Amino acid sequence: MVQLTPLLRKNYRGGHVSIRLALGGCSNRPFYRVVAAYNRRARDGRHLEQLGCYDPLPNSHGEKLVGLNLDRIRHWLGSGAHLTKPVEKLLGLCGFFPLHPMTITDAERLRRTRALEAAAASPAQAPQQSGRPGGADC
Amino acid sequence: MLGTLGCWGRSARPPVPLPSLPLLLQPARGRKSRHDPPAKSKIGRLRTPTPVDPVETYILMERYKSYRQIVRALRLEFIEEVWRKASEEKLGKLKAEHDPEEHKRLMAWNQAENDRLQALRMSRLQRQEQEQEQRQAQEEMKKAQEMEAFIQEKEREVLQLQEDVKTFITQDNLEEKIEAALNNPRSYNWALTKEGHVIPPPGGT
Repeated sequence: MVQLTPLLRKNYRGGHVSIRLALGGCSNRPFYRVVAAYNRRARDGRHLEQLGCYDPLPNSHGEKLVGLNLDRIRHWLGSGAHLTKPVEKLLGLCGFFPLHPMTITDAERLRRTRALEAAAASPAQAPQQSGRPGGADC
Repeated sequence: MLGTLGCWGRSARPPVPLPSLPLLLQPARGRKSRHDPPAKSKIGRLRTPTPVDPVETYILMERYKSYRQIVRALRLEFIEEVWRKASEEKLGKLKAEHDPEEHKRLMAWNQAENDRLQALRMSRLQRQEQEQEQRQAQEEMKKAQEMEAFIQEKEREVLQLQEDVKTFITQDNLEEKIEAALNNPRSYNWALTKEGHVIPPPGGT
């Protein structure tokens, strides 16, 4: 009998496994799945294993929910998988990895801009007390 | 591993002025591919380098260094864990890890056995040494005895010879011996039985 499955299956040369976010959901409603897939596969294409999910839109309590299978992530990292920046940031925020430097830097920048805006808004508010809708809201 | 800054990090942008109207429509990103020609409005455009805050960049680089160090250590740990699990599955756990008390007990028993055998060995060796010494002493005694016996034998022979010397015939007593022999004839006429007994002749002449 002729074996056709190995011929039909995609054989890779080189490449590596990546743990990345695969986009799903509908229009104006993104939803990401944390997925272990070969590097050169399509973003939403066939993956090796789903390792979690991430909902970027906050829910009714203002929370952005993330679910991660840390045991399997450990296994894939031990087998030599790469990580993308968003996944690294998520892992840093959940405590599995140290906090990503860009997370800290972005937070610092945001604080600085907010402080500047507050400083710019308060002297502008003081002379104009006639209820101008000021307030650093961003 | 990703995370290299392709361009120098975005520095503190100039503070965004309060927008009077919030931007509802964001421009669609990446509409053109690399093969589409640039627009006519962008003909004379010169790109100025992105402003960079050196202090922030330095701090950021330090943070990246420590971050990558930690992540690399974690990665190596995970790799080792996976490898260990795979090898355990393949080869099975060592008895020492499986049952440490059993292992200790067996090792102690082994040690006791070794000590016992060592004691036996020592006693055997000592016995053998003693026997060896005894045998050597005996051999020496025997040798000494043999030597003595030999010496005595030789002495006896020497004495015998000294006595025989008296009966030797020399040039001096040649004539006397001849005369003595002629004067005392001896008869050799005797018979022998099959057993070897001598039968002298009756009377004899």
